[in-house]
Amino acid sequence: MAQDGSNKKVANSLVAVSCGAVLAVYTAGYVRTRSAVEQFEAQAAERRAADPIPQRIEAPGTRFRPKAPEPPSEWASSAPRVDAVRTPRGTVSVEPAPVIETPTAEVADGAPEASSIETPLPPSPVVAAAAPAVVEAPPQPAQPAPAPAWKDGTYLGWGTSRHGNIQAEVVIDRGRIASATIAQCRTRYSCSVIDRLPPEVAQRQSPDVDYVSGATQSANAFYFAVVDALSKAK
Amino acid sequence: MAVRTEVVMGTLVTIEVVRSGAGPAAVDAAMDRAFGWFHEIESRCTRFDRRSELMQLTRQAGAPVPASEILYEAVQFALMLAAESGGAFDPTVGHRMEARGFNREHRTGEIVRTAIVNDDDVSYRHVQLDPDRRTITLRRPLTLDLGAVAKGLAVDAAARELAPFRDFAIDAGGDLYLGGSNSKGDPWRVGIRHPRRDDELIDSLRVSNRAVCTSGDYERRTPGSVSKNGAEHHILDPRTGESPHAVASVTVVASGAMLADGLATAAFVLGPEAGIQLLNRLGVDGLIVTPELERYETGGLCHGS
Repeated sequence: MAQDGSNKKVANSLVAVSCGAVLAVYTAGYVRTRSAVEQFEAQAAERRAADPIPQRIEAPGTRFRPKAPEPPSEWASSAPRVDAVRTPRGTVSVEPAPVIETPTAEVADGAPEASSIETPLPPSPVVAAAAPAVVEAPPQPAQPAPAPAWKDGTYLGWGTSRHGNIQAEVVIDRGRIASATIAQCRTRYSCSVIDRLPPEVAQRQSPDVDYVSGATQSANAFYFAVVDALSKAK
Repeated sequence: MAVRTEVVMGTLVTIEVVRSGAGPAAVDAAMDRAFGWFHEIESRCTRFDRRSELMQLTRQAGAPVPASEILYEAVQFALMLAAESGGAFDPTVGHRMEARGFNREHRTGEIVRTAIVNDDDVSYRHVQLDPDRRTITLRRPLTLDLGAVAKGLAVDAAARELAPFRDFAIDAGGDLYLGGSNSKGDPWRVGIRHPRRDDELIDSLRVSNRAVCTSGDYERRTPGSVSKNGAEHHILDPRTGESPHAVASVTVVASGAMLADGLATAAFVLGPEAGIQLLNRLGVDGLIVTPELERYETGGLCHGS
């Protein structure tokens, strides 16, 4: 703890450091993302000129709508290229885990128990350090854990919490998670708490809030159920 | 409106972009990058993978180790928060977390143990930074735990990726960042989970361009521990090695999630009065609820739905 009198200074610098840290980390990877941001801005400008009417449609009580199918090439070509981390000894380029987009699930109106969600996972061995020869890596470059490639099929898994159990059904298609759904809910409380978790089926517990701060046991149970199901898909 | 959920950092992370003003490809690309930050920061800062940069650092105690921007900044923030909170927050409690059973790799369920067991007198003071060379030195063999700091940093980096969209939300297992407005054009409405009744909210707040993080004694209890009072939970007082019991939950509203999450943990350990003092000193808002459901809060919270 700082001495009396210098508290204020330390306090202010803590806030400053937290902002500076995010900036430093983001900037280190920003070189790779800048072109994408510029592309976005150009695209946004074009869109504004061509199509001034927002295409979002929202009906009362139904927050999420299936979105228009998109050609896979669009997102495949925009795979994450986030990070180029500076180290005192040079630069090492690291490719973050591949991120998948899956189609948004359809809203299950009035059927919260039959919720359906999309839960993408890194599909294939996560890679790393695709560093060009010129680049010098730190002594032992960190390697993200390889994610398993899943076998196609439908898998069930249980997750437990002190309030009860939740069964998840996970569908793997072409090695990727196509959907993750609550199959059974045996908690002391209703599954309504969880229903706001899978956002595509956001039959939210309280219509008065957009998000809830604070983890829930039930949410963890669903999470572990998904992980359990995935363990069978190896 | 675009929403995506992924399993990362031991939790479900959801990102919502309210309206983009650009094509779906631009939103997808930004979401790819935002989730990319979660995966990248997790891979560097996790205790649960021996190959992570953090665990490699752990094996090189005594020597200055060059660190990536991510690891260096996360550790630097953790150390400053430790100093600011008088050790109520301390990133060197990692080994004690292992001892309590918080050692399960979330993807594989595998139990991970590090050979190094921190001595009881090991603290954040045994971690040294060299700002010029960007190195980290562990002056004693120890295990760092950057869990909450790393998750907060990932949320903040993701928020920067999504900033061009203005209106968006990031939900990393109850740690939130809310950018701009919700779909109705109003400030986001954030419910705060009731620390004792799962289905209820104890309050709701209006926020915009703020992170909201909650530390509660109800999260991730030690497997096997069942008692309601005196139970062990996922927060330890680094100064005593015990789970503090004066607080049921702390919610912090701050400019970023790393700051909010770290301060929520520190305030949880400090207790209601000292916790609110810490938040006030930093000019950050928060709400502390005791196990008896007494409320302590700073002056700047915007309540209501």
